This record gives sequence, C-alpha cells and structure tokens, in this order.
Amino acid sequence: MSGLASKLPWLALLVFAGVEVTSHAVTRARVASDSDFEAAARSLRAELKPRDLITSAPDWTDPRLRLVLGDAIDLAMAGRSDDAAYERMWSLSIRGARPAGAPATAPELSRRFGGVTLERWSLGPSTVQTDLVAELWSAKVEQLQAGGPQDCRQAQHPAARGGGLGRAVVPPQRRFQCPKQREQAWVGPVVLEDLELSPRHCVHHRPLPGAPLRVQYPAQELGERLALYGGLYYEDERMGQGADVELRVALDGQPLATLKHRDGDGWKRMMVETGGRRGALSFEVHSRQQQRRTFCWAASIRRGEERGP
Amino acid sequence: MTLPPPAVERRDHAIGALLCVLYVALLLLTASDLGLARDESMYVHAAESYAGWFERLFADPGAALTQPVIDHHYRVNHEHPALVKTLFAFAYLADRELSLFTRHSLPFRFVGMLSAGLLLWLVHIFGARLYGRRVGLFAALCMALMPRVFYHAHLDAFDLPITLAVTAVGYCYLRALNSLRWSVLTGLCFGLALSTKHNSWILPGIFAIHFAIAVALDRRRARHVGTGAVPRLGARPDWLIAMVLLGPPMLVGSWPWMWHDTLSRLNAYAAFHLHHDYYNIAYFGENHFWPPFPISFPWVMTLYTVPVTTLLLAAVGLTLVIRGRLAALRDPAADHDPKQPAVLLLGLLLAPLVLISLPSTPIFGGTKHWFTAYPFLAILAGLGFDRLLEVVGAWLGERSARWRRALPALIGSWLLLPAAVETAHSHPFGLSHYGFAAGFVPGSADRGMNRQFWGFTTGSLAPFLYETLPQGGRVYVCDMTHAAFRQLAHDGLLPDNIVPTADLARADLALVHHEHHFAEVDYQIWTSFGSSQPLKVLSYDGVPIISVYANPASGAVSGLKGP
Repeated sequence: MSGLASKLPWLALLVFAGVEVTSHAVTRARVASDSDFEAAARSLRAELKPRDLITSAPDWTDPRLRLVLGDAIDLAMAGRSDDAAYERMWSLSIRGARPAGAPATAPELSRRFGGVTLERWSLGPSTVQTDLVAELWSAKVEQLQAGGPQDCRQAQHPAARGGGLGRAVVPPQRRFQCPKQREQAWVGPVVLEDLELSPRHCVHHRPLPGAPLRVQYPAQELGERLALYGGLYYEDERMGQGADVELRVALDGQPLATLKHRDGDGWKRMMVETGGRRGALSFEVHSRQQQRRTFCWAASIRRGEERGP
Repeated sequence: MTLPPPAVERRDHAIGALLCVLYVALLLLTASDLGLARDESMYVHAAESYAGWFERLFADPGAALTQPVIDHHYRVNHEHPALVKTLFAFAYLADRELSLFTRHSLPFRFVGMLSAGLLLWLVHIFGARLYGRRVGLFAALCMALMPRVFYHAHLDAFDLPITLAVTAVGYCYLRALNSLRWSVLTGLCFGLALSTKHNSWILPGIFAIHFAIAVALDRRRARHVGTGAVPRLGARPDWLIAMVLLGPPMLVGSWPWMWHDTLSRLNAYAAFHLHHDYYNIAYFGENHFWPPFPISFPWVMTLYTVPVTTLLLAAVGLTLVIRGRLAALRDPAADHDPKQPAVLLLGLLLAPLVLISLPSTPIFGGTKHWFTAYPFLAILAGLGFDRLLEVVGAWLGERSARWRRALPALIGSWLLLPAAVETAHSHPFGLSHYGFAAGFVPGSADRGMNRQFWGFTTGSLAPFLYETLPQGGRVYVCDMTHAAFRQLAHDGLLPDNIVPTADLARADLALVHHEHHFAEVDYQIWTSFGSSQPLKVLSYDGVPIISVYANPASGAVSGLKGP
C-alpha cells in the first residue's frame, strides 16, 4: 500500500470527527422554529376556505401543526378516513417532506417561512354528499332486545372519568346512552386509535351479543355510493385473537351491505353502490364476542367520480 | 518475552478520582433539569420504606427482624435486590440528619451519580492496566460522554450501579487468574453485583468461557515451547469457587425480604425476570409489544445513540485486538499474556448485546439494559485512539518530538468533541437524543424511533405549568407517575397546589408524552376536550416531546389560547 493509501483511513477518522460535529450543528440550525410555523399558519389562514384540508409533513410534525392551526382542524379532519370531503390540500412541511395523500403534481402554491414550506394542491371536487358521523345526531339509536327495541336517549352527560393506556375511548359527554349494559351500550362520535395507531373520527358502536345497538338515520337521498369504514381499537385487534365483527347496513330494513372485519384488517374500507336511491339507512354491529371488541365505524354518502382512498 | 502489563500508579488513581469528582459535580449541577422518571419514583418509595426499617432496627431490633415487620418495609419493589435501594435509604437518612443536599430527590440520586463517577475511575484504571494510561483516560472520557449514559447517571436507579459492579467484577476476575486474594475480591464484587441487579447473572458464564479459552491456549503454548515450559495459569478456578461461596449469601444477606421464605422468594425473584412482562417500544415506525423482538435492536440503538466517532475508534480497537489474537493463534509458541484480556473484553462487550438480541428478550428501557457493555466499548475506543496517536506520531517523525506532549491532548480533544457536543445538547432530553447515524433527533423521528419513556420530560415543563396554573390546578400526567410529579413540588420546582390527576375530566391541563402507543391518550383528550389543539408543544430539535392540552371546562388555566 502506498504511503498515502495507508494514511487515508486514519485521516478519514480524524476528518470524520469534524463531519459529525458539523452535521450536528447544521441539523440543529435547520430546525424550524415556532415562529416559522406561526408565520406559515398566518399565511394559510388568510386564504383558508371551507373544504380545505390542512396537513403537515413529515407526519411527526402533526402536534406542531395543531398548535398553530388546531382551531381550523376539527376532529373530522384530524381523524379523517380519507380526503374525499376536501377540495384543496394545504401542507406545512419541513426538510423537503411531502404530505401523505398529496397529488403527484407540483403544488399550485409554495411559500417558504424559514424552515417551513407552505404548499397547496387542488384535489378536485369533493365527492361527499353527507357525512354520517357528523349527522349522527339526526339518527335514532335503539337497543334490540327480546322484549322489543329500547330507545337509547341522546343527552349531555357528565364528563367521563379516567383516561389512559388501555382505556380505548373516553365516552363523549354528548352521546346516545342505552339502558342496559351502560358501560358499553352507548353510541357517540369519538376519535379511536386504530391498528396503525392513527386517529379515526368515527361512531363508537360496540357489538353487544343478545342486545345489539341499531343506529337508524331518517330517509335521505343516497347519492351513488356509500363509503363505509370500520375498525377496532388498537389493543383489541393487535393480538389477532378476537372474533370477527360485522357492520351490517340496511336500507329501509333490507340488508344493503356487510363490512366484515377480521383482526388484522385495520381500518377497513368498503364501497357500496346505492344507485341514487332514497331511503333510511341503519347500522348494526354484531360479533359473538363482546369483550375487547371496541368497534367504531365511519360512513359517508357520495356522488361523482371517486378520487381514490 | 511477555510484556509486563502497564503499571498503574498513584497518579492514575489521582486521575480517576479527579474524573469521579468532576463528573459527580457536573451531575449534581444538572440534576434539577430532569424530572423524576417513573422507576425512580418507585425506588424513592422503596428507599423511604427501607429507611423506616433501619430506624426500627435501631429502636427495636427484635421486632424489626420479624417477618411481618420485614415484609411491611420490604414488600415494595421486591422484584429487585435491596442493596442499591438500601444505599439510597442511607443517603436519605444522612440528608435528613445533616441537610447535605439542596433538593429532596438528590440524596436518592446521589448514589447513582457516585456510581457513575466511580465507574469512570474504574474504566480509567482498567484501561490503563491493560493498555496504558492514555487508553484508560480516553476510555473514561468516552464513557462519560455518551449522551444516554449521561442521562441515566443522574438517576436513582440501578443502571449505573450495575455497570460499575459488572466492570468491577470483570476487573477483579482478570487479576484473580493468578491471585487468590483477587479471587476473594472477585467473589465479593460478584456478591455486590448480584445484590444490585440481575444483569450480573450472566457473569459466571462469560468468565467460564474465557477461562476455558485462556487455560487451553496456555496449555497449548506450554506444549509448543517444549521441555521445561509449564502452564502459567492454574486450572483450578478459585474465582468461581469464591463467586459461588460469596455471591448468593451476599445477595440474601443484603436483602431482608429474602430472610424468610427464602427459597420460594428466590424462585419468585428469578421467575419475575425470566418471565418479564412485555412493554411497548417503537422501532423503525413499528410499535413492538410482543415477541419476537427485532434482533437488530441493541446493535442499531448503539449505533444510533453512541457518538459515531467513539464507535469508529472502538472498531479500530476491536480490529487490533482481533488481529492480535489471530496472530497469537497462528503461532502457538508465541509469548502473550496468558490471561487473554482481549478475549475477556470481547466477552464482556458482546454478551449483554447478544442477550438483548434474543427475540424472546423483552425490550424496554432503550439502551440502558446493555450499558454493562459500554465500559469495554470505551476501552476499545481508547485503544483505537492510542493507535491513531502512534500513526500520527510516525507521520510527524522528528517534528513529533516537539508535539509529543501536546499531541494526545489535541487529538484526544478533537476526537471527543462530537461526544462532548452531543452530550451537552442531549440534556435534559437524554432519552430523546439520537446521533449522527440516525440523522440526529429529527432523523430519528423520520425513522420512527422511540422518543422517550418514563415520563421524565415533564420536568422540562415545570416553568410552563407554574405560569399557566398560577392559582394551582390538576394535571393529567400521562406516563409520569403521580409520585414522580409530586417530587417536582418536593424539589421546589412546582408549587404544591399543582397536583397530578388520573382523570382527564377533572384535569385543568392534560399532558401526552409522545411515544407511539400514547397516541391513544392523545385521541382520548381530543374526544374529551372536543379539540385537537394543544396549548403547548414541548419540542426537542423540532421534534414534539410533550403536548399540553387545556381543558375547556377548566377555569384555572391562565392565558388560554383562543381560536
């Protein structure tokens, strides 16, 4: 080995110490500040429209996004199943990251605020005609029993106690509360942690063998499709040992579709053609197992060409 | 001829002692930045309970030695041996009588800090005895300047004490190979290690393998050298006899919980650790909670959390010792140290990492469970540094004479600079810190690595909580234990009218420690409070560590952020 070649590894080792220190300094210097996020948020707010989706990239910046724009990100947006309800996508991103679900095209707007890049894409017309999670309060909820269905009353309850790991969901104050098996027999909008640990804004609706709950909406125009999503709380599903759960959807009392959920499916999607009919939709959740089956579903009535999940 | 091992002089002990004192002083000065971690709060509780037993022992020895009284005081945290918690208890009692410390948590933490300081001393002596003073000193500094080690060195926990104990047993064992006195010391140190933490269980196995190799090579050499050559190592493992005779009695003797129902309780202790619960750990975006765990975990986490310059130097050191051993194997008659210290170094370095790599070993606690490997990693780094100095000295030739004294300090400082900068910056987010190989903290978030555990980062929010709840209030503390949160008040970092609650509905503020599996709590708060907007996000290098939410039903929160 020549003199220089034999020296190179040792020189590289000496130089590397400088590289390590310098790259650390550069990484720290490039950290986007709170004021960068705030400036980007101000710019976004000035042009915010209804049906705008606000997101960030990489996904771990989400708490910083919600810090500056959380008031414009409702639970439906934070826990969306897909982007069909939105017509434009805004993104606050750092370090060149691209938000999940952004169109493959270049953004129609791009501005820099220090370490934060504000971008906007057009998503096309929304296909969502009615969000059935948002419309839950128009529905009637009953508990089906041998002696006939019992009404689950919609009311404002005292805030539920507790919270923490393993609790799955905390009942919202406003919910439909059923008379039997009160701890589990309630229906209401929650944000569920799904198998991917993602937030899902959905209707909490557990299977209660022998006394299932039914959510019945008033008759309405059904558009072209019904988008169904359903899944279980992370800890209930992750061992892959639970019984299957079925979300049964009926139209005017006749079976329309069944979303069959098996442990491991995660947040499952199903599209059901409704052919522009009108009628009353109802939802029931069934399983042979009651414990550790914290099930939640989301549904929306859609029209027009689907943009994809 | 066998080169005599480098002599360790008084000066080396002076250097070691200085390192110890300076490190402990640094830890004491920076401790208040760190909130108490989950496990610390349990050990504080245990230490206070043990202190109560010692008070009873002095007041009424007969009663104190009865099973009901012992069980009353020692039932708490009986899944870990008592020695270190007993030292916490003594420090606590000493502080109560003599007011030695400025904060309530410091006497408990001081034992861990002192262990870390003593470890640096020992690493210096170990390295100096094997390869010379330069190696020892550089190794000790490498050990001090590992960000995760620096964090854990602050805590009232077992991780630095067991690292000290395992290193001490290794040092004694090496010297015991031709000394009965050191064999006895090996047994005594093993007893201390057993009484510290169960990491020590693997030591006899490592030593047995090393001993077999060393004796076999020594016998082989004697055969090849020929007439008159005698083996230089005795085949009787005095060290093992001492470990067996002294270790278990010391474990039981230092642990009053074991004084009654001894066998069944020893069985229960072993069973607890052999069938340990599984916890959540995020690794490359996946939340692992059940075996099989990824084999790569300890290796990648070492790469990601130990400064890479240190690792590269250790790789050089490792190459040198492996090359040296291979050369010795090729020439059976060659003279070499019959104790085979390099083989022992490799065993003590690799065994903890291999053990954690087993897919069935529960993974939690980040990197601390293989800290016992790091002193030997540091010694190898010292060896790499020493070789680099030799090479640079040779390049400089005649000119190096002028630089001879300054060169080690200059190059040593340069090579330690990344570790020093990263360790300084890691505080007080030691468990969130990642290094060059991970792309530092933002890179680790991109890769979906674990961001923290034990909830200790709440301590960094103390000024914010104080400002936001000027009249006091309740805080949902997520991963932090209530005892650890209350310690913030005991330490004067929070007023005592800011209290923890397990109830989101009654909380004025709710915290979420950002670990993958705590997303559940985040969403519970959104549902309960009707909003996903935090009041504050505590970040480290831009990466969210804690989100703080204000309960809209609370009247206690000052400066509530409006839409």
